[in-house]
Order: sequence, then structure tokens, then C-alpha cells
Amino acid sequence: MYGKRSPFRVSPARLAAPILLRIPLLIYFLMVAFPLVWMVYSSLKTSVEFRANPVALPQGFYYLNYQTAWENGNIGRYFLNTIFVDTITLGLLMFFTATTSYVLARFRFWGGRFLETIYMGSLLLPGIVALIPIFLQIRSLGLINTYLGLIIMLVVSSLPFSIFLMLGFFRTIPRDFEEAAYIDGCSYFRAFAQIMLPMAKIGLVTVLIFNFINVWSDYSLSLVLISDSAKRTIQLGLAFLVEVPKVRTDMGALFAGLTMVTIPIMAIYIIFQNKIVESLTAGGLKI
Amino acid sequence: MTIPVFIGYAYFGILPYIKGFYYSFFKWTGYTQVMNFVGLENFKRLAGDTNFFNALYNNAAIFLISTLVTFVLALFFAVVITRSRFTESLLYRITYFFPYVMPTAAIAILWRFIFNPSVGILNGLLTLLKLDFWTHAWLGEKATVLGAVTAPIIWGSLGFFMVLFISGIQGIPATLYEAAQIDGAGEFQQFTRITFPLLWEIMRTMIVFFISGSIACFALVRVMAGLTNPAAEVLGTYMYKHAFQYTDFGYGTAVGVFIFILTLALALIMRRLTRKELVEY
Repeated sequence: MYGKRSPFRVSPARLAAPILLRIPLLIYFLMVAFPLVWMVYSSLKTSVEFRANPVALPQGFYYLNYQTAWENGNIGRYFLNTIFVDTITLGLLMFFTATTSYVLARFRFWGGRFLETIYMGSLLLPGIVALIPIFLQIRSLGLINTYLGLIIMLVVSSLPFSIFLMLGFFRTIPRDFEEAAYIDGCSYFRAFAQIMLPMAKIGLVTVLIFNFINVWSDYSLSLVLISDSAKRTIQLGLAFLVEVPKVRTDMGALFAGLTMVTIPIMAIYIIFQNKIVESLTAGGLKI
Repeated sequence: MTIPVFIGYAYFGILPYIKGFYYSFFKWTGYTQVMNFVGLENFKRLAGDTNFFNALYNNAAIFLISTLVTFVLALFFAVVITRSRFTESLLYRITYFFPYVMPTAAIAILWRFIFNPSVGILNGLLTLLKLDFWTHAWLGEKATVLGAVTAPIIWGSLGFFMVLFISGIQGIPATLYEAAQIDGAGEFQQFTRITFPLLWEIMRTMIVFFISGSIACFALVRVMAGLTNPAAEVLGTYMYKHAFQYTDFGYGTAVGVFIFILTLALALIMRRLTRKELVEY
């Protein structure tokens, strides 16, 4: 591309450009990759190795760190808590999203645009402002420090974005399929369940992945709504662990915890990376 | 089916905001039934609170620097990747984007370790390169804390915006660039005359998007620097502190209201300031 077919004189700048340009790219690449790689291999070090040289590779695979984190650090319990909360949240979320998006995408009814505007508008609201009132409201319902309260709020806070994505998907499916079904005497519910859903499977999976990432990563809501240390979700649990003086010095275990928290997301990202990137950025460009 | 869902959403999702405004007019510990209506007193107190302004100043600094660096670098990388057709570009896209999906708390913890004076790789690398004199207690020293907190913010969002810009640039027809090249335009000119104007619309929207996300960097700061460091105080932590530690819910929600209005105002201002004639192709 540079200098081969160009009718212009090949300047030194043209030749040097590819090399020079690669430098910042590589620098940032290292800045992203190295911390992550460091995180993983550090989790296999002993505390002694840490103190000696933080950057060096571990001498062996000190798996004990993971066990320490899982048991002493309670990461095991937090993991289970989080899986429990997340499964229920995701189930409810997907159900609500699919039904709401379907209705909003397909049917023109009084108030339809209003609903849509409200959902989309709330995407722009700074979530942090609602933290205090949410705490107060959940508390007044007696749901503070319960999983139910957390689940409700997680579903509610993920709903707008979820609907946003799902709407996009539903709108790309031509109506002809359902119209054919209606002509054949199919009811709304059956049309939804047996025609729309299977066709939107890709969309559903993508939205599910997103929601999982968001719910797994949640910190603020868990912080505010859960006070019982036994009930903590994993992000919250790890963040608190880092501050406990006794645990603080066992860096290996902390890193093991950190890796365990990040690995699910990393795995999902590596497998589904393409779709994730596409959907997120398509939404951004549509505006 | 949709109606009950919406009602549930409105109750749990929208009402808190409205209530937030409402509570800010009270003085309340949150644990008793006593609520004293104090009108605008909370806000007046806010206006005279030096700690509040400290938090505001910190937040502003973080916000400005992170926005600037993120967008400039994201744009730079996007242009380089699209125009140069390096074969390893896909690798860059995949790696740069990842931090965006990483959990915020995990990012905070990771970077907290990176900045750790004794076991962190930042000081570790500096020592290895015999640059000992550049080592700091990054999160402990007042001068470096803000920078330390800003780094993960940039780290986490750069890839996302870069990929966004790449998609935007790829939407520009190649014929425009070819025509420009034939007319003798250099790469830089192609950028300023073609790429930038056409990307501008997307950039405007993305800046607004980034604003509402970054004013509220509560989770990151809380996990990285804790709540007790005034040099690392931001609006979000200030609000949290007053509500949950000092149990002054009225004041806390007043801060929340301020954040809300600030975000809205900034978004509107940005939309107005950056209004330019739409460049069509």
C-alpha cells in the first residue's frame, strides 16, 4: 500500500511510517496484555517469591493459593452466592426483556412509544445517583440484605440496555413470518414462542452474554444492598478481602481470587468476542 | 405482559431518582422516623463545603484528563489501524477491547496491585530498568493518586471507543480517500478533511455517553483508594460517605442531586458546543 503503486516519489517518511506507527500500537498492546498476564501468573506464586521480585515468573505452580482463596478467603462461598443470584437474575431478565421487546417491536399501541422513550432515556441517567434512594426504598420494603432485593434491583438496572439490544434484533426479523402464521390462525403467544424466539436465538444469546457480563461485574448495587459478609457477591467479596489486613499480605491468594473473578468473563470474551464487539458498537453507531 | 414489567420498572427504576430529589430537602439520619424539612439548607451547606469542592475538583480533573486522553488515543489508534492495514490489527482490536468488559471492581483491584509500592509491577519494572528514582507510592502520595486513578479509567474505555471509531471509519467510502490521494492529499490532510468531519457526529454522541459514565467513577475509586483519602475523593465517594457512613441521608442525596444536574448540564453543553454543520457525503 505504501510506495508501491504510488505515482509519487517515495519519501523516507513513507517507508518509516509503518515501523514508527507500530511502536505506539505495540506499547499499548503491552500495557493491556501485560497486567492481565501478570495477574494470572502471579496467582501461582508464593508470598516469598512475591517479595523477591514482583515481576518475575513463578518458579512452580503454587496451586495452594487457589485453595486458600477459596476456603480461607471465602471466595468459594461468594462464588456460589453470585452464581445463585445471577442465574435467577438472568432468567427473569431474559424473560422480561424478550416479552417487552417483542411487544414494543411488533405492536403499535397507545403508549408504546412512551414506554420505549422511557426505557431508552434511562440509559442516559447516571446510575450512581440512584444508589441512595434505592437503598432506602429496598429497606422500606424490608428487602435489605436479602437476595431478593438484590435480584430485583439487578434486573431493573439491566433492563433498559437489555431491551435496547433486543429491540434491535427483533426489528431485523421480517414480519412476513408472523403474518403467515396469523393467517393460519396462530395466536399471539404461539407466534411469539414458536416463531419469533427461535429466529431471534442469536440475538437472545448475545443479549444473555451481555447481561451476564454486567451482572457478574456488579459492585455498587451489591455494596449498597448487601451487608452480611456471608451473602456477598464475588466482586464485593474480593474487594473487601483486599482490605482485610490479615489477608492483605497473602498476595498470591489475592491474585488467585482476582483471577477467579475475571476468568469467566475472559473465557466468554475469547469465545464470543466477535459478536460482543459487533453488538456493542453497532448500538453506538445507530445513534 | 409488558405492563406489569413496566410498572415494576417504573417503581424500582424511576422512582428512586424522583425520591432522591425529594430526600435532598431533608435532614435525616435515615434510621429514625424523624425527618426535618430543611428546605434548601442542604444545598446551602453544599455551597460552603470545602470538602465538597475538593471532591468536585478531583472529579473534574479526572474527568477532563480521562476524556481527553481516551478520545485522542482512541481516535489515533483507530485511524492508524484502519489506514495502515497491518495484518496484526485484529489482535490489537481483540486485546484493546477486553478491559471494557472486565468487571470494574476487578480492574480496580488489579490496578491497585500494579501501583502497590512493594509488589506492584509498576515499581517492579522501574526497578528492573534501573529507574529506581521514578518509583512512588502511587496511591499513597497526594501528587500521584489522581493520576493513578485516571489510568484504569482510560485503560478500561480506550479499546471500546477505538473499536467504535474503527467501525465508523470503515463506513466511509474508500472512493473519497482515493479521490483525495489522486488530488495529492497526504495522510494527515485526508484525516483532517475526510475522516474527522465524518466521524464528528459519532464523536459527539460518544462524548456525552462517556460523560455520564465517568462522572460517576464511584466503584473504581472506592476499591482502589478507599474512602479515607481526601486526595482521592470524588463526588460519588463523597455522596456515599455522607449517606452510609455519616448517615446524613439528606446531605448525601443532595450531593446525588448535584451529580445528576451536573451530568445533565454537561451533556447538554457538550451537545450545544459541538454543534457543527452536518457533513454529508
